[in-house]
Amino acid sequence: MENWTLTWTKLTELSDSSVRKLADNLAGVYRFSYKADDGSYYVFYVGKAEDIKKRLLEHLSSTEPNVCIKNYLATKECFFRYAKITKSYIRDAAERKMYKQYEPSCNDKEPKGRDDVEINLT
Amino acid sequence: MTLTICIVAKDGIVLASDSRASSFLTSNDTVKKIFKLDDHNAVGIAGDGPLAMHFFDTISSELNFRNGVSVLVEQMRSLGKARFDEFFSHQTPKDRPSLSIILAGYMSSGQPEIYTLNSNDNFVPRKSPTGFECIGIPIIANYLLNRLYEPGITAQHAAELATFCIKETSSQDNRVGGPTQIASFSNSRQYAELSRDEISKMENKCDQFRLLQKGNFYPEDSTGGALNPQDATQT
Repeated sequence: MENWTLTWTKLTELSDSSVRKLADNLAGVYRFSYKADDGSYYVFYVGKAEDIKKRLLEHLSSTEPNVCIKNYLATKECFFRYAKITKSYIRDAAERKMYKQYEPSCNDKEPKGRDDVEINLT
Repeated sequence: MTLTICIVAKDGIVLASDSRASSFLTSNDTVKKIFKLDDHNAVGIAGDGPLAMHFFDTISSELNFRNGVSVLVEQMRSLGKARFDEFFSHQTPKDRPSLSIILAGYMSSGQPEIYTLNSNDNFVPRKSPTGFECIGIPIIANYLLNRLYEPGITAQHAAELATFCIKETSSQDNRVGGPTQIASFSNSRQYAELSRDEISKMENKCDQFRLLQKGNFYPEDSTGGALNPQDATQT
């Protein structure tokens, strides 16, 4: 069993301006959450990208095909956090682990990835 | 073991089941558990599958379908009791194999009805008050149907709901499993079994359903986290 330690960023408002502050070509995994009425932040989408900034801007664009994400963005105060992961198979494993942990409502497929990699989600 | 579900929809009746027969060590996923009686009446079974198949083979020619399902269920009760007494005269009732039956059909008034009968209970019919019935391993399906069923559901969505109940049960109990079987009919539409392709589409759709938002129990830590991203490190 491999053990990998991810450094998760702070929860940040999911907006065009905050995403544009990210570095280019930052590979890793990310997740979206919304602020609920009880003050907690609940995850509604998890993903991975070779360029997180580019991918998040795609999510924020009007052409985002995931209606569920669009709906959250339009109706809720949304946030994101991410972790930088250079190795592709660790990204896959981390995305899969997040999916299993949160079962996010806007992910429609279980991501493929190794289950024998220990990864921290917080 | 088995899970067989019947749901009354606003435009028909849906019967669905898994296809697993399991014993202590082995299982087989090819067992048929839904049977057409005529174009507008059908049964689902749980228990001894081969016995059920023979049982319906022998009684079907004696059933009269013209007077509605309430008359049909009474015929099934008396034929069931007589056949079981004959088949298992060498055994006391408590030692006999068990057979549970869901009978679904229409009253002569056009009203859909579901009945359940059990060989261990002398085949005394019980009329469903809820619009759905589950036999075999019903606990999870009953919970889901109590939460999710409304009489206004369409037959198409009732089939999806039944598929969802079977998949959820099979994820928790390995006595339920194998390909799902679904049949549907109404008082004007003839009994028809869904194709494997149609059922696969429903199963794929069910994979996307979220009964509970698991993430609601794992909120984000809004105070933690690093300001600067650092690459993952192997430890």
